[in-house]
Amino acid sequence: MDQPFEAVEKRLRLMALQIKAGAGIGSWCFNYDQQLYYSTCPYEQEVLRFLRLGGCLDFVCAPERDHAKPTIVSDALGLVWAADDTEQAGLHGIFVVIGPIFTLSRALVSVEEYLQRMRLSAPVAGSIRQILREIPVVPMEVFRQYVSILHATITLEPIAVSEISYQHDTIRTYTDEETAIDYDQSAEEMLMKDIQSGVIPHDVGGGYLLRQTSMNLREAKTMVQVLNSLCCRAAISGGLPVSAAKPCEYDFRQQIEQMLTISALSGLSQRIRRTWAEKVRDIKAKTGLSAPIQAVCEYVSAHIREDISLRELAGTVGYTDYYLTKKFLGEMGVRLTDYIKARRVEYAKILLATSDRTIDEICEIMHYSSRSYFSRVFSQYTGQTPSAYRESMRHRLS
Amino acid sequence: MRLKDNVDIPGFLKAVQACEGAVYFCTPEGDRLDLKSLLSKYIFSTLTLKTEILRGGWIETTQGDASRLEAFAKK
Repeated sequence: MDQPFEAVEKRLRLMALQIKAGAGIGSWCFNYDQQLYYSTCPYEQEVLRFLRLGGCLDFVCAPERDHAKPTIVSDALGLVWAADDTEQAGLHGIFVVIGPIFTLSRALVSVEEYLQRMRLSAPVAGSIRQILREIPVVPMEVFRQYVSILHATITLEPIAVSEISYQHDTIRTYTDEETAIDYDQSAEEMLMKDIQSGVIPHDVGGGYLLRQTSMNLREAKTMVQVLNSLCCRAAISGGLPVSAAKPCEYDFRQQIEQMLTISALSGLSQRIRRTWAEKVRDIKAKTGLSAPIQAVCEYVSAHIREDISLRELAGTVGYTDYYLTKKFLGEMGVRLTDYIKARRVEYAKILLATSDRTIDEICEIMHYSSRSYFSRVFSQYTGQTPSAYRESMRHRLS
Repeated sequence: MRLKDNVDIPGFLKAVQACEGAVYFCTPEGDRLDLKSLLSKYIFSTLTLKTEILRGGWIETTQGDASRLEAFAKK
């Protein structure tokens, strides 16, 4: 059905503002000569080049694509976009793109790790980091909802998420498995430790605050306000000056209150966690904790479920095992092996408290050589055996 | 070789992709970007918007590929 051009354009501009304000997602409007009409993306020129170089724009414009349906596309780095044509509303030769986003916090961590390994000079690394920091991490299921909103904005007709098409079948299955973990106190403690150490939080329980289906927007806002205050406190104890922390806390407080949907709030809560960790990381970088040690901490956080070897860790920062352990102890005040052990115990606590996996399964997931060794290490750090800990958590939560 | 000031970046990166060997963008600060990797391409494309970095840097390539990139080089 043809609609007046102005009406469609007005709706699109309103949607662009809303998804930008709500979830930090940019909107782009192109013609099929790939000429850009407008965008709401910061670093427009740079990000436009990503869209072109990653092959996503060519795919969106390709005649073989099903232009009647919105399409989700992705590049090799894990940047995700979605496109939909305005043809369906009678506007010929124009399409709208939303993005980019990362749907997996791990994808962002991997890019960051790769950047660390490239050992680039500050101006060169800084130029790309600045841009990456602006790219929101939005779970795929939430992004699909934004794609439905885009389609409804253009056509005034709803579309089921199952009708969205995908450039690669693998994008369809992008989910952050960790987000399925429900909230518990251990996840909160782990997040606070990450922020305090300036480690970009690997999304353990990411979005957990907003996953309770019975929660209304007001309750969700209150929970994110609490999260913001806790992150602020952790950042201050991690070395961020109060004078720098308070304005940021206030700024987020305002943003939280402006959110109009739980999905938007979920995106903001991820941004809050990340921003606080980045602030502490920047302070630590200025005050002594070296970039390689930061990189090691982030690597441990992102690969906590894997069997991390000292050699592999040393390799990520180009050190020998001996030099890395010595440097780590010097800067962190704790032996690297003990640090990894403690982090694994923290993660095991989350699995014990929030999953139905048996203790043997958790041993296997966490690469402990035997159940008795797992129990011994766990007791050493928590004062309880794994089964006693699980029992006590269930008792507390019931 | 050094790149022209107003080099056509998409065209240049396309030519790089057609090269047989590795092609690097290097800076005096010691950066070495492998222009066949997507992340390096993204970094390079952001740098090209900062002319001072682009002007200070140079391209390293194997001899056989140099002729493919000649059209983008400063005379």
